[in-house]
Amino acid sequence: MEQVQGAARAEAVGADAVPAFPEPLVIGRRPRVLSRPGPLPQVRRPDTEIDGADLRGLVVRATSIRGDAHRYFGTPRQDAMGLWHDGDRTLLACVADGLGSKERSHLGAATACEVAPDRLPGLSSPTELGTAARSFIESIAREINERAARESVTPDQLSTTFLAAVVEETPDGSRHHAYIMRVGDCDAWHLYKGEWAPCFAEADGDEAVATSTTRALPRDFEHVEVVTVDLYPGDMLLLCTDGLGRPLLRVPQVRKQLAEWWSRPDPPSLPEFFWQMSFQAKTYDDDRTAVCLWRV
Amino acid sequence: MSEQVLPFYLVCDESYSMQGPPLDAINRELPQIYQEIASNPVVADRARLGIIGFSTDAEVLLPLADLNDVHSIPQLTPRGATNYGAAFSLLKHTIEQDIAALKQAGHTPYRPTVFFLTDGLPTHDWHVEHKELTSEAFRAHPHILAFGFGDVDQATLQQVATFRAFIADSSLSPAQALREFARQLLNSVVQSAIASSADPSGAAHLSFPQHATGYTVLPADPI
Repeated sequence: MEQVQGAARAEAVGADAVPAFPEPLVIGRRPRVLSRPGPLPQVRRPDTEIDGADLRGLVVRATSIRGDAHRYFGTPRQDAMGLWHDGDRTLLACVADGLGSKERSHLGAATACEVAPDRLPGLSSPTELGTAARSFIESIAREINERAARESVTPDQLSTTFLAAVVEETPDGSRHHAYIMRVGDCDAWHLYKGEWAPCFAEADGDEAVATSTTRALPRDFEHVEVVTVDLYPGDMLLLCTDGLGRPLLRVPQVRKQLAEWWSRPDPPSLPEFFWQMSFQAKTYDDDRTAVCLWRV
Repeated sequence: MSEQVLPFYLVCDESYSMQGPPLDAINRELPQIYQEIASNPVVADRARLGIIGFSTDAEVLLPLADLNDVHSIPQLTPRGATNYGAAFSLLKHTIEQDIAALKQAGHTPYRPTVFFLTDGLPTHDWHVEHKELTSEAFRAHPHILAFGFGDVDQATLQQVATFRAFIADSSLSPAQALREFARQLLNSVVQSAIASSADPSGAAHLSFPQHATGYTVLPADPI
């Protein structure tokens, strides 16, 4: 038996059998900033999280990756994410982006994603959706305030954007219904037959210069936006922080490449998904978090 | 490809009052500022650099360019009077044109940052042009860091700066200041900040340290 295993291993690791691992894809001009970790941050916060699930009718891939700028400076990833399944028909997925201008904001993002499943109300009645979403978001804001108190910092130091999607399989199993709510500039996109469509109405781009300002929890808990989306077989729902949302919105090559990868018959493996999400596009060096839900 | 662009303008006083050590210092300083921007890859990826010189009038010495396309830094020679108004007018006009061109090319420009290098001894009135450049009504109004060289008039320097002025002493240089403050600059200009109802322009505030070893740092006092 041992001999058989040894032989199999020798074959698997033979020089011809092991492909070279590709560097992250560079889209457009090569950035000067390198895609590799620099100094270790002073707080314990792993560079990357990868997650996934295979549920009835849904394949999930998720990753939260530290941006190359934070890697260069040795500062922690400020994005966070979370996935929970109730074991039956309901999935909760969250993404959050601690504001770059606040040093402790990674705690706000992490707190929002950690407490979300315990704060989740029932969303079965569409007429109650707005109320339920506001109460959900408000209770998360309260948790962030309490965390700030425990850390002895002001609540705005933990400022974070937040987006959550409650994805429920309909009783007849024909589709999944997604209730999506957010505060700030996290985003949700729908991919169908290779075409992207934003779930939220786009803010008008009539700015003289870009400013990077956004609504954020805990302060802006009243500024909740809610949309609902139905997912049928062949649909994909993307939930992301602005580290992915901005290049997706602004860079046509990024939009096209991601659509091509994520429209293939089989969703990517976990390492492939991590590699795809690690693409480099010059100046888009912020943390990137994405939860992709394929309705299969 | 659409990039997020951070325009830097170096606006240099080359009037006769700067002749000698002050102008020599600026001429030594310009390549160092370029090096400092180029040496931080996170800044360099976003940065575009332009240089404006002024005396009696103002001229663009280096049109706003990608760092890869900057092959030499112009040297300044002393000439004429100290006309801040001409510098601010040309700067505003240049920023308007550059922002429009960047957008036309599909880029996303962020608020420009101006390094204003002078002895703080203007010979003409300049307040109207300064106000036009820095007012909220000019939506691409830049952040201005003022650096004093030679016999500096502190009050003037503080009025020109929109948030902080620096007085040259033996240990000060704009390149050092940039190295010291590059991250704060990025934090303020590029990184996410809370949209503030008290600040309808949505501009993030620059937050430089009030005290920094080796610097004489003055609060901005724009009029």
